[in-house]
Amino acid sequence: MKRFILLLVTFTWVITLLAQTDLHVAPYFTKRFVRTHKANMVKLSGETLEGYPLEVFQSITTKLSTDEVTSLEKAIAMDTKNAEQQEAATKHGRLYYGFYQLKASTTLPYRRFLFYRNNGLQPMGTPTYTIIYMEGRTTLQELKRKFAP
Amino acid sequence: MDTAYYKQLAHAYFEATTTEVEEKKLRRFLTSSHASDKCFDEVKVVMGITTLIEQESVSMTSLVTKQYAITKQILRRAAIFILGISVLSPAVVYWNPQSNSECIAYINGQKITNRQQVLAEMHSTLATTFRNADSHQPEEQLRDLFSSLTK
Repeated sequence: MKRFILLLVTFTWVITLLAQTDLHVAPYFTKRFVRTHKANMVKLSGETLEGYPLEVFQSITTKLSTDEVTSLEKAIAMDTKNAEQQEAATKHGRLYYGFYQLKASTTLPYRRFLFYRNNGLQPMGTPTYTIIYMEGRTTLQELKRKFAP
Repeated sequence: MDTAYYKQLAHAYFEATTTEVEEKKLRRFLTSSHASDKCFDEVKVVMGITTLIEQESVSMTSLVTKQYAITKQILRRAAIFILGISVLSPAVVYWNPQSNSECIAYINGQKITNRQQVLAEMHSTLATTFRNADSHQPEEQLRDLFSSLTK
């Protein structure tokens, strides 16, 4: 009995650990990051997104140091390594923008999307960086159609 | 402790020459831990002290058993609590994002919870992110690539 309980506890903690380490960009969507970087953050989920084909919307727009940009680009590269669909462009050797539909999660019934934009690389743009994470029953094309200006 | 004195008292007890006070004294001595000598066993039996000591030992055993039972119960409850936390925490991690309804924005250090305003921020962020994305066509990307190579 004691062995069974120990096994159960170990198993559940392993699951917790796996759930927490799902995305490398997750630390950017925390209140702590918003506070330390004076970033702009938008978080919407559940009923508040009624009428939209989304279940979760999270975005961060922030200024970053050169080292932080490198870390963020690495995190995005790792998270989008097995992306199902992607549209990305580079400018001056840096990732300019990237729209990715992530590999389907075994625990989520929705599609997951990760967007990145280096705003400083566009003409007259401010030197800020935007990361967006979304979950929903939609497609990359539909999102573009609905939200692109 | 003067055991010789109590040996004399025990002898006097059998001779029926002890006073009531002396008997009380002897009884008190026999129930103490100092009366472990075997020579007092007989007088203990006669005075009915053996039963008393046995009763005390039985009550001590039941006390120990009771304490053990309480400790076991506390440990069992602690185990159930730890197990419960271990099972619930992953459940919260998994199901919280879907069941929770969140609507919050931090814009220039200001917290916004009004749904319309937060939705407007969402639209604005997505529009900015998609802006000019299509204009960065492959030709432009190739030009950018070659310009960085010739630098």
